[in-house]
Amino acid sequence: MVIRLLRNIKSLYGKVLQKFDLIVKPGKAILMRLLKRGLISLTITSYIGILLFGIFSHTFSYKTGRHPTMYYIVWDMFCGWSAFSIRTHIVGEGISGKYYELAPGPWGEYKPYGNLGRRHYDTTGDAWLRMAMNTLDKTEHEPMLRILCIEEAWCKKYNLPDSVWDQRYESPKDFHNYFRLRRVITPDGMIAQNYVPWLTRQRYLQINDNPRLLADMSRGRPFFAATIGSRVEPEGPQHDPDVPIRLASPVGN
Amino acid sequence: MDAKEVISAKSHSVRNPFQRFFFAKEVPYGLAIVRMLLPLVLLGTVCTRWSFSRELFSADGAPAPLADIFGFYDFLPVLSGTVAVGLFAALGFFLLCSSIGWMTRFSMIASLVLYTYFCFMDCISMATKYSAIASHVLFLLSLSNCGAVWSIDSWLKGKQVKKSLPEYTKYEMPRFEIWPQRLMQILIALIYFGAGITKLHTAGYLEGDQISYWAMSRYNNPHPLGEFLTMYPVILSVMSYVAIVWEIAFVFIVWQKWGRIFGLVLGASFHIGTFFSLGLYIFPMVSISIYFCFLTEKDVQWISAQFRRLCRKGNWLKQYSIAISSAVERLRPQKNAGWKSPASWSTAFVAVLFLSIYVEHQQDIYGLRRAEGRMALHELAPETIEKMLAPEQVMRQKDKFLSVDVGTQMVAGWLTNRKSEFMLGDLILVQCCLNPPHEDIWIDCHFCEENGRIVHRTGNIVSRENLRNTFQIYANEALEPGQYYISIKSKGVEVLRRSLTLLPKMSAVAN
Repeated sequence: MVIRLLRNIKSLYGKVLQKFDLIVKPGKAILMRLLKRGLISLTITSYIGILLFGIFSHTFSYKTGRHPTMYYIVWDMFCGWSAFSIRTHIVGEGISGKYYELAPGPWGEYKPYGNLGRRHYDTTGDAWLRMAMNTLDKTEHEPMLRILCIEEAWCKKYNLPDSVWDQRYESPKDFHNYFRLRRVITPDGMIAQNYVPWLTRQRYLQINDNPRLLADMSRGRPFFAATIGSRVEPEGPQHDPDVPIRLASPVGN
Repeated sequence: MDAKEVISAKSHSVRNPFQRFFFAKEVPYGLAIVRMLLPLVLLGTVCTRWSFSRELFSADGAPAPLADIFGFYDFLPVLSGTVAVGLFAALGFFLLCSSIGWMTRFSMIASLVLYTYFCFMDCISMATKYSAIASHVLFLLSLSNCGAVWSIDSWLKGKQVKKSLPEYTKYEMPRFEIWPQRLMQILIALIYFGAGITKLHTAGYLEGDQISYWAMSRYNNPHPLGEFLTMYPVILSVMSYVAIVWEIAFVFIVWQKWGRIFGLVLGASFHIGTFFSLGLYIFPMVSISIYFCFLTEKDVQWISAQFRRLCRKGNWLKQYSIAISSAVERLRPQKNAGWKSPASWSTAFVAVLFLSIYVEHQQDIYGLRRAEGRMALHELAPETIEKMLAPEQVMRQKDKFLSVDVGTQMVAGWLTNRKSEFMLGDLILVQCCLNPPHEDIWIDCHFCEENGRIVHRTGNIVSRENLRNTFQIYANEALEPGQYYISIKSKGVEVLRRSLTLLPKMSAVAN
């Protein structure tokens, strides 16, 4: 009797479970599917929204340098190219008066995009200090007095191969390079002096080649430094702090 | 009741186009090709950098974190030398696995994380716009089911499925919603749109000056075609117009039937063009490999139908394809346990990790463990350093000038027919090109006889924003035919010269 009762309860329980499954399982599946579809829709809209923000930011120069991730949504390929080739030399001056090459290190240099060493692509000079200190750290050398970062520039027309040059010019190549000290670093890694790039300097000199402008500038500037941090010599054109100095990486980018 | 019936893709609501665009189901052939190609290209860049990874990416070298430029110092941790070397090699392993589709999802996610990290660690030699694009694509691939076809995973899974199905049942390729593929297409379209906006912002782009200077630079790989094209700047100008129109129009045409073909063919030509004319190697490979996300299931069916037709016609091709497929079947493991693939993958990963660390340790890039001691610095020659530290030099006048050309016809501000021979009575156009930056400059243009006697003298002020000036010289019929030259002078010094010949005017002769 009891066993029969238990069997009946068990079969009833089984039937209830079956009915429950019939109701709940499709509901659960629908819910999961809706949830999945909702998540996907959210992903799609967020992703497209981020990409569109990058386009907006770039088009109107709005907060393009606010965060490193902006590099991943601002498509500023082709930032602009100058008429001069620029190269970087990092040199150490020893106490004996001899000068040593600190970049590339004696072990060689990585050439990322062609035949040029990595240091030449560092247009901002952010890694010069690290490159120099790394070389000093890993080599045998006399004590250093100072580290010099020097920029070399020359007119790009002299890069043309002879076959093209001969068709375009009647005179032979008269190659001339210009050097400019960009940074002086102490042996313990402190930046002692910093100078603007050669091209910026040229632009500044050319703007200054105007007596009326110079007269206006000196009229508006006190003879003595009147405020804390004011400079006696102007730096040249100011840079918008909100816009990062473009990497100007020449990689097609 | 099935869930599919509740959320019908055929509902006649306003969401219908959106649903169809993002949630239609297709076999992910296109994404599978992107998955195979892009990681292979990136693997190449990883392999070339690996032996320098300690120097480029670790605290034991000279990394250049991208975040530093934005003023976010210590944005990401800089790893120790050994860890960076091991993880960089692991990145190579993950990229290879992603390409062949072995543990695809995990390999793809690991590739994405490590690749983006290493790009952030060195903005000089690793972070470029192609690597930013690659990170996006890796992200979208890791969301997709790109490993469901043409992969090791599908190959192993196919065996299990085939075994469980009865003989008469046809095995169908898996189909998935295409939204990751659509996102990749939208990404490409918006990248081009953004690049077009950049070009609109760039002064001197449409005139071809910027491309011309790029072609003269040596920052990239050799590009003889680009150097040759600097002689024909009008071609560069036309190409610049085509590129900017195509980049902006791409987003509007690429989802049309013929627009897609036109946009992609033009895009591929553009990228191949940058390979030859600008020396860009990786960027075109990345770009063209991601173009395959525009490949649809129908395209693949059409291509395979063509291939089958070709097979039927050519017996040798049929034999080859049968031989290849039977070889693949022979290679397929006979008994496949679910745990074997992840276990062998993990073993391979650990092996790569430790082997790379060991090899790099033996390599001793800095020479710290050499028997003869540490390396010595290279001393610079005194004359070299003397030149480098010389007082500031004023830019030479001749370096402010790019070229002088003579001709008779101009298009888009450029002289199009360079000539050295003119008839008496011709109007000679002398185009003088300047290099930026230059000040407001006075240029003298002298038309001289061979012996130096000035026949005609003209001049003009070229303001700092202008890079070209064209002088007009009338070859007066009173002049003697013979050799002449054009002399361009600045501040009293000749900076450029161009020789030309004046020919007598031919009169009409009656037959």
